[in-house]
Amino acid sequence: MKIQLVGRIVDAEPRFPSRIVGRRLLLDDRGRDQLILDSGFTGSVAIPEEWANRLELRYAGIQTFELANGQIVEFPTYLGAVQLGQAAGLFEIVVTAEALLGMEFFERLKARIVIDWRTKKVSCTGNLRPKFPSPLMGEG
Amino acid sequence: MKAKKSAAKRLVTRTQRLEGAVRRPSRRVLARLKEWDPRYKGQVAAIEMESEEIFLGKDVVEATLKGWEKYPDRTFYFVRIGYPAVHSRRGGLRKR
Repeated sequence: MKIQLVGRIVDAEPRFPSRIVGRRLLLDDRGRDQLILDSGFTGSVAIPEEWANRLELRYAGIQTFELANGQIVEFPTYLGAVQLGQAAGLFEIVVTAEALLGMEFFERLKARIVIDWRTKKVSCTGNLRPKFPSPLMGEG
Repeated sequence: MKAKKSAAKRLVTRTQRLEGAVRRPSRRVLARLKEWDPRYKGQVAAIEMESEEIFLGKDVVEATLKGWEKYPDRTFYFVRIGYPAVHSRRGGLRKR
């Protein structure tokens, strides 16, 4: 299913609006929270703990992250559904202090991202195939 | 440097408190993964810590779902074969 996301550049950061509806993370233009597009983050989705408490997530285990200084840190990892318009997909979600969309998220969408500094808008078009049936998405 | 080390220690402590004790893969499992390196480099390995069984996927979601097919109630330790960590974050990742 085709996906189109539109966000804004705020404080020199491309940000996509999001909100939580029915214990699911929804990215659409009605959202009042924001996820930052972070090209330095190879993961998928990172969210703050306060959001995590409101979402239906399933704990998957521990994964490691390498930071810029070479330090390896462990983060609890969850799987959860993310709604993108009419389509939904199962994504890995790590709980950190920030709300980020990393490169794996956009790779999964086979996304084309345009950052337009004249209009201060960021747009993303892509496709999402929910290829992983899961109880978290009401398909299993 | 000392402060960073103690921050990492705090994270591990908090993680343990939240999710139960963090068990890390044994040397035997890590040696097995090293043997797989040339063939499966870049794949994510979900290691089920009780059985030490390994489930491979192109990402964490795929590896986890394969693991849950056999062990629906278990959790995993994730490793990316041939890399020091599953993911990287330039600029640091703040603790919650």
